[in-house]
Amino acid sequence: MLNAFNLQKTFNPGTINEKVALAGATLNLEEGEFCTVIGGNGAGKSTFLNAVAGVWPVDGGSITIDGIDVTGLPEHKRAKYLGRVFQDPMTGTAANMQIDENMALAARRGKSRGLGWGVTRSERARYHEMLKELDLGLEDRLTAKVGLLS
Amino acid sequence: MATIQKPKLLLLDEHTAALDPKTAAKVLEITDMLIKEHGLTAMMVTHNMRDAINYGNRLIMMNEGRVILNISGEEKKNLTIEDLLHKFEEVSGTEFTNDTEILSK
Repeated sequence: MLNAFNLQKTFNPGTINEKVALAGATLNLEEGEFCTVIGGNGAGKSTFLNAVAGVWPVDGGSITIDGIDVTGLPEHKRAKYLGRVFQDPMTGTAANMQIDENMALAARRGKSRGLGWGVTRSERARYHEMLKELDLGLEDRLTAKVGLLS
Repeated sequence: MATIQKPKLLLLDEHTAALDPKTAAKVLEITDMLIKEHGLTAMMVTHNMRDAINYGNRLIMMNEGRVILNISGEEKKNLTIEDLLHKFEEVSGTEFTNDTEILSK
């Protein structure tokens, strides 16, 4: 499913802030594998994830996802293969949009979008059910702006 | 939200680190459930060694931009925090006077 081979990345090369963040990181994951990643600060954990997501191009190595070579693909073109969650909930959500609108955006990731109602009634009903399962009380706040949630 | 559309690969970057322990545990449970339910392939960065051991069927440790430890299957099931600390010292050639320097329990 994921083949990351010999990834290299140096930030600020040739400057006093030069930082070798990836120095030959290699990982192969089979479909359905759930891999936990540990290591000290600056070990390259987040950099590795960012490399897979395509936040910036790697300096060397290759990345394939489900047999597709994404090494040269920009972040937005890889987005359809990936789901990402960050520590800061404001990264990855649109703070000024409602919960249901954020969910609708996520549901359309990588798909072509036409002109039509942003969130349909059936979608809203589905999101209500999905959020109810989480048992965090979010299902009753579908139209609350994400930025106002704690 | 990251799983509304089933992604081929789910990337979780310390997604529970900023949450209180109870909510963090709940979110982790939900994460695990969604991954299993949809058969997703996932990578989860964590600073919590216990979570790293308890969740998933694969574990990697990184150091200086490389994957220095790669554990799966039965070996992962039987893993302890002490094993991890020991392996870290072994592989990286570094000794730590205090385990919180590398990972918090």
